[in-house]
Amino acid sequence: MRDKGNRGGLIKGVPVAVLVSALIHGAVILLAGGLIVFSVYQKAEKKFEPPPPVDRPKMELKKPKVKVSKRVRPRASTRITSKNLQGMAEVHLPEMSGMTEGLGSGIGGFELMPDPADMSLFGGKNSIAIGNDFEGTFYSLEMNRRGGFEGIGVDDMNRVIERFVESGWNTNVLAPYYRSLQKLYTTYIMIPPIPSEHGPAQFGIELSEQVSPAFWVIHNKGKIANKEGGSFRFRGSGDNFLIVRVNKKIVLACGFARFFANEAGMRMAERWAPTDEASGKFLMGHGFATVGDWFDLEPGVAVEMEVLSGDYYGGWFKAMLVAEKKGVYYPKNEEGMPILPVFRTAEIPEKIKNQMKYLLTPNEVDLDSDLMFNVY
Amino acid sequence: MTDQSKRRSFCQLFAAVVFLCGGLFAEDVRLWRSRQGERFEGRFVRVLLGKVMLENDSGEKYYIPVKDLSEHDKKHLSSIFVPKLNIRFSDSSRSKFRSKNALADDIIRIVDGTATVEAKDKIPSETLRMEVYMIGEEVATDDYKLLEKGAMPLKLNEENDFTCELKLETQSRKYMEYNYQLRGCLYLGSVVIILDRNDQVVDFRSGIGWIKEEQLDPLRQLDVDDFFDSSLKPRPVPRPKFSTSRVGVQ
Repeated sequence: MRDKGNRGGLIKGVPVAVLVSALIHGAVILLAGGLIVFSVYQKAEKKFEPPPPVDRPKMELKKPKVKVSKRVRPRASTRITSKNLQGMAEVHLPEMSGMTEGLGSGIGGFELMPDPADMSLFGGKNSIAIGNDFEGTFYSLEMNRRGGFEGIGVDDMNRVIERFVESGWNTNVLAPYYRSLQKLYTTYIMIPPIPSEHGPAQFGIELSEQVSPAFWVIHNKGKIANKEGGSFRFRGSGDNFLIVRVNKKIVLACGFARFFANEAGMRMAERWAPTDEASGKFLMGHGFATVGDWFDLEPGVAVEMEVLSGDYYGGWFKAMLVAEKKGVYYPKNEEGMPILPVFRTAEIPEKIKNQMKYLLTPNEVDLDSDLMFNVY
Repeated sequence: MTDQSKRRSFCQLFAAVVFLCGGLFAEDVRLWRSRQGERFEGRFVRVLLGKVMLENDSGEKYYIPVKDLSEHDKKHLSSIFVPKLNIRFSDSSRSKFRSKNALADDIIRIVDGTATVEAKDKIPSETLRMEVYMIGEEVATDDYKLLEKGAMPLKLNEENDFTCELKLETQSRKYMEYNYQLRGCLYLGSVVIILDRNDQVVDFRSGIGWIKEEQLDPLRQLDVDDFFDSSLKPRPVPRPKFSTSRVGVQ
């Protein structure tokens, strides 16, 4: 029997549980208290305080002391140009195996596609085959350089042409006369008989009662080359005249008899006369064709070429030039005249070919030959 | 039924379904708005008496006066509406100024042609294009030549009074060749063709009796200066005859 009055003794079990519970509670309280302390204690955010204003001493603006002359003329720009084209032609580009012939196969020369609407038998307003085209300049010899009318006759015009040829084709001889602003660029010399008035009109001269040039010349200047090289000669027909110079030497001069006669001061015949028997034998246009001198071209080497054509009195005009390579057989037409390739430095646009065909009798010239005098 | 024929039938059925669906949804169902802000959902059917007919998916039809459409929808309408047109062509010729030393037997006349297209409905439209062909007849042969051609988009609106004009100029020439052969090309007439965006002929007006609708396609293939015969087949360029009769004449 237990003694209910004895309470001062150790009671086993109960105090241990209380102690453990107290420890656990104490630990929990400490942990919770710590969390509260951490969450309550936060660093106060630093507020930006602008620095005190800095005293900046005011500086006086001074005008730059640079002397500027009131009249400053720009200096002429220095242009880097090639001195001669022969060197250019000799530059060898590395072969590019990845490049194909593309759409231009069979067409020689470096060509851009011209707008056919802007082109005529005289050429186009813009360069159509860079490096291969002939620049054509139009001069009206019955107009002064300001555009005013000044009459000129056949004799005087012949004398001007003679002086031009005598001076080594120096265009200063033509300087006193009206020169059209519009130049035309061509890669072919083949103008079959057409009304003479087309010449000035194509070079942008609007015909009127005051301006109606009938005495005029076109000076075409460019360069030619041939890939294989060889000996070549031209055959041509001009109304009123056509003179061709290769490498500063006349190789062909043709036109109507009066032009070459020793009358009226025009002594073209003394400077150049055809030697080939075929000259004056076959018709080209409405006149007999003249056969030119042979000239040599080194393979791929470019040489200068100039063409002077012109007309006086109006009526018909023509400047027809075909080329022949020595040693090549050319088929002949019904009259026995060899059908020679048209002189060209690039492929002739189809539209222009058709214009030529309309004016050329069948088998008069060859418009589709491979012979080409392109530099590039 | 073999596997192959089953597969073929399935393909045909699938193609038919795709085709029908394509046809069904060919017309664009869109939300149309009036100037007052009212909305109509439907596809454009046509314009009738100045009203746009719209039809929704359930077949209901709405008629909205064109003038009441919002600006945005008016613009949209002009991009799909194919108007009925009045096509006219007029030409006149004048002599060309000639050099004082021009050849006496070389007669050139400048021909000015004007094609005028007018929208009958007076409803803005930008869906059509006009092409004009001026045709000549070669003097020396039986050939014809395309003298000039031009084209322009037809932007018919209130600003231009629903009328568009295309002016062209060409030359009619008859001359004596140096061999005494008469040559040149004389202006014969013109053809105006109206095309839609799919390059299909919508309307045309031929000033040359023998050029009919079925010949418009070959006509459109020609370039200026091309020669052709009366069936619109290309012909080679006519050449002058060889002759020594005028040798040396300047």
